[in-house]
Amino acid sequence: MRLLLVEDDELLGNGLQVGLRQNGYAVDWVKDGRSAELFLAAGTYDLMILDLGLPARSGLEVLRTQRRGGSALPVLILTARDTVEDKVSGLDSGADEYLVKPFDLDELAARIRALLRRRSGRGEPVIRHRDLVLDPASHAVMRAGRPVDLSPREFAVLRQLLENRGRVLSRARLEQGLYSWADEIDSNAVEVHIHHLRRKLWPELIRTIRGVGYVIDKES
Amino acid sequence: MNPSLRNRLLFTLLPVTLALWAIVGAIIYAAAQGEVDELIDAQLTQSARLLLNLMEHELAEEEMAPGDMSDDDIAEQFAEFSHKYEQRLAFQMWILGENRIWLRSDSAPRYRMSERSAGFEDRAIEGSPWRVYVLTDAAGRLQVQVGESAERREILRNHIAWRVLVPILLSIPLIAVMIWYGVARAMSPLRNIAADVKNRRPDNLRPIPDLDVPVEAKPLIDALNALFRRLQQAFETERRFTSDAAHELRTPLAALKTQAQVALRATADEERRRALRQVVAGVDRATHLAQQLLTLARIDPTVWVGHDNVDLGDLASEVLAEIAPLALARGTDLGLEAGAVAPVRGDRAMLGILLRNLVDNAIKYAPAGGWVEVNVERRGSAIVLGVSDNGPGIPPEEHARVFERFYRRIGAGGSGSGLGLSIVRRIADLHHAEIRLSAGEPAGLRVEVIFGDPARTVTGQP
Repeated sequence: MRLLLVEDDELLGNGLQVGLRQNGYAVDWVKDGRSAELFLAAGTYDLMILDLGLPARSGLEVLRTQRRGGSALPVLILTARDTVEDKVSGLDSGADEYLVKPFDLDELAARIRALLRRRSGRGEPVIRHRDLVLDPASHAVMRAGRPVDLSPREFAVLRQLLENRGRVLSRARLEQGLYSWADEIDSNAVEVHIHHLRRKLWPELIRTIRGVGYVIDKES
Repeated sequence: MNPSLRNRLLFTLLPVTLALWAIVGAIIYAAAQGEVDELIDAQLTQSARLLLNLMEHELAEEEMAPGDMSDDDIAEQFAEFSHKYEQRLAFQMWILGENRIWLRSDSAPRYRMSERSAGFEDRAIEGSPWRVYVLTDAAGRLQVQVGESAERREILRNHIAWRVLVPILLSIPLIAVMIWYGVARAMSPLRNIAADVKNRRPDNLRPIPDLDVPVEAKPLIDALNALFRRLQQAFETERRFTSDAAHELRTPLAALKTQAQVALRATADEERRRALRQVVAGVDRATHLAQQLLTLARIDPTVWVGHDNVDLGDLASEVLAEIAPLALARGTDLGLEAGAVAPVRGDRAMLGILLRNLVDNAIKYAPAGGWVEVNVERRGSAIVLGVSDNGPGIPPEEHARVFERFYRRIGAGGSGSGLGLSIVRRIADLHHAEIRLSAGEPAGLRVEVIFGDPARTVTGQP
């Protein structure tokens, strides 16, 4: 899962980036509205965390431009503006969530999970596939009631594939969910993670579509 | 006890009105008295003429048929004229040749009331004052004397006096009531305003409507409204400041909390240490912000704190000495060039804060290993304090905005409070100094604080 964080405050941006990474997300962090638009145009994101009081271009302007352009990207506004009018105008401009600073990192993570769950059209917080249960909140994976030990990146790959069951995800798409722009990407990292997942779960879980990518089939 | 308008009006208007009426009364009385005198004199004259005619007529008849005439006939004729004031009217009919009274009224004495042969005379008869009119016939044979007791005039005069006085006396309570009522009516708009102001919530500073306010009270209302406007502005500024401040504190607090939570959750030692270092940096930053907020709040434009003679050169070397460690740490070359200039009148502590903020900013924006130059010079009659750096500068279109509270420029990194230049501007304003931003040479920013003629002292409330 790859998030775009738009926050002009150095310390808060840094904390959020690290904190969200701890939660298993790849986070790109930009500090002004114009850069946010450049990043949105260039990359694929699963969610955007948007501050409103930004230099260059305000958060609301960025949001409205995105929505006008037809983007359905889940957007969580994270701001110091706490009046009802601010919240209403934020949500009416196309935001899906509105969180006022200072906030709790756990709550932010929960709201991000909820947004991502809603986007995938799922009601249940956990993802079930056959006898496999993946809990995005606790980062736990159970198979037939027994915990399966996965690394954070393996978990992230499995989660992406499960969230997009029936759809083939390219290696690049999976990589994007693992690394932010600042990270160095190891060329065959995704293959390694897939290999580990097949070994720890079962080989047929993830199918390779040669030259295209990987897929977990929908349950028939 | 405050003076009462009503009482004041009552106590000035009432005596004045009364005095005026008394004068008018006196004039009317005097005039009436003149009229009365004339009227009574005319009456006396007329009576005398009538009596003389009668006498001539009777005497002529008597000559034709002497002894026929009785006194009663004349008395009867005279009765009509005298009935009312009988006691006070008297007449004598003299036959001069014989020096005898032909006829007299009971009230008349037997001797001549007047020794004159014609006209009026005031004299005492039997101890009381009388006015006597004497009329003698053309032949000088017959004479009529008609007298009237002055008492009668007195009664008439008193009568008139009362007629004049009674309405005046009756009008006193009426005037008092009218003044009382009039003042109450005139004051009612003020009372309404007072009730309106009294029932206001403390934050209601709308102007008082002055539609029904009497012209006399308008200056007061205008002054009050002007005060309300100033208060409103002050409150507005205060409210905006508080709201801005609270707002600005949220982000550093959010950062602190996030970093602390990251540290709590970190699994690796290095990760935890890094997060904790960020927490410390965040606390430093919040402290700086609080400090700047306090500074800004203390620079109250309505209270002037001091007017020292401040040598800007001295002050600059002091401030630079304080800041030098920071500049050293960043490898910034700090320089001061101070000419001998007249001292500036103002608050030394505040000017120190102004200079510190400017130099702090300059050091922050100058590249590592860059330079910051402070200079104090005379330009015409003005004294200029300049701070230059070789940082990125500020584009002219942003020059006005950087003085706004909490305005942060892109790339400023959000580490400042966004208040430094607001503080600088506020202090400069208090000293009636002008701030000019310009591009540095060859790059960077130059900030000039221009103090006007040092001879012209800083105005402000002592």
